[in-house]
Amino acid sequence: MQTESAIWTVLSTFVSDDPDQLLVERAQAGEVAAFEQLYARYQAPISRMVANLVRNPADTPDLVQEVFTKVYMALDRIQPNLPFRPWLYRIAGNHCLDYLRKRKRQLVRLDPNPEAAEHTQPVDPSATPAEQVVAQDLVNKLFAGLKPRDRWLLIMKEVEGLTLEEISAMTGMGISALKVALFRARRRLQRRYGDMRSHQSEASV
Amino acid sequence: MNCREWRRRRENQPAGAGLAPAAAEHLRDCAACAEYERLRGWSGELLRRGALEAPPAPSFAALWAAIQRATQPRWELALSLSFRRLAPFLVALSLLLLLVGAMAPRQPNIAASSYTSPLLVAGPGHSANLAPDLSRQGDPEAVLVATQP
Repeated sequence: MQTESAIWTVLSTFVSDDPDQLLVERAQAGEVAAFEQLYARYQAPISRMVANLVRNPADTPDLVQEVFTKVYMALDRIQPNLPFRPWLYRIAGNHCLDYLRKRKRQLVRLDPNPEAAEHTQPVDPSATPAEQVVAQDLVNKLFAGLKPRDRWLLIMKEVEGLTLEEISAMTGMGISALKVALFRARRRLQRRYGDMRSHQSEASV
Repeated sequence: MNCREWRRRRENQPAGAGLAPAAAEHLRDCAACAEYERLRGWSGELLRRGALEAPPAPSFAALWAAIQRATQPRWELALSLSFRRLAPFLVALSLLLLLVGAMAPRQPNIAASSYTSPLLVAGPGHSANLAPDLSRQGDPEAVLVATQP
């Protein structure tokens, strides 16, 4: 069984540019083992992407499960010209964006001014970003004020290390538009960081 | 190398990759690209340092069970869900009916009836009242003749 799976995996890398194509075709034909292999291959990167995008470890496993359930149910509708990996990331990204929008609505309902609650923990203004309070906490705070789409682009590019072409295939944006969107997302991140620092400086005076 | 080309190449390089001589030369001469590079480096470093460890993903068995639930026919799912929601109420209703049944009297209460028998009113000496009065029905043959077409 394992040998057969290994042979399929090796074959799939030679037959097409997309190393997942054969597995996808077998999964489309109803072979559960093929889908299991796809899951084994992508569960870690998708979990990482989801965790970094939504910044809520408690909800991450459920979201990952929902993403792969969606993927399985949409396998028949996969676009023939789009490789599996960007297609999977697109589904995962869109699912996380929906989650973030819903969560934002819930937060707004609970707290009419969520921005005010984010600046409660002081950050050392004299240190560089990398040396400041736990970087994860800092990114959580910075991300809280970013648009979900900006978060997605930044995570895809900076954490997942995807190329512009891959992100373009996922988002449907042209390369030029994508570069501009990435630049603006970085700017907004930087501006938000500056706002946070000035706010904390004022608070400490 | 123009700015557009330079940025495109830079974006497709892995994190921490060095610059080719031509790219480094462009960076020295172009203030806009130098600013772009600073921003790119800063955000990349910050986000990579602040990246979260992903919690373990669910097992394939759990995923497969979720898929089975999701691919179940909608009416079947709705039925099972509605039954699950209704089950406590059905149990409560059954218990209530049992309770009411247990508390109800086992024999009918005669005294509560409002009906008064004519025998009780007339008394034992008036048994003739129970005989049918056949004289009011008339002659059966005459009735038959009258109903014939």
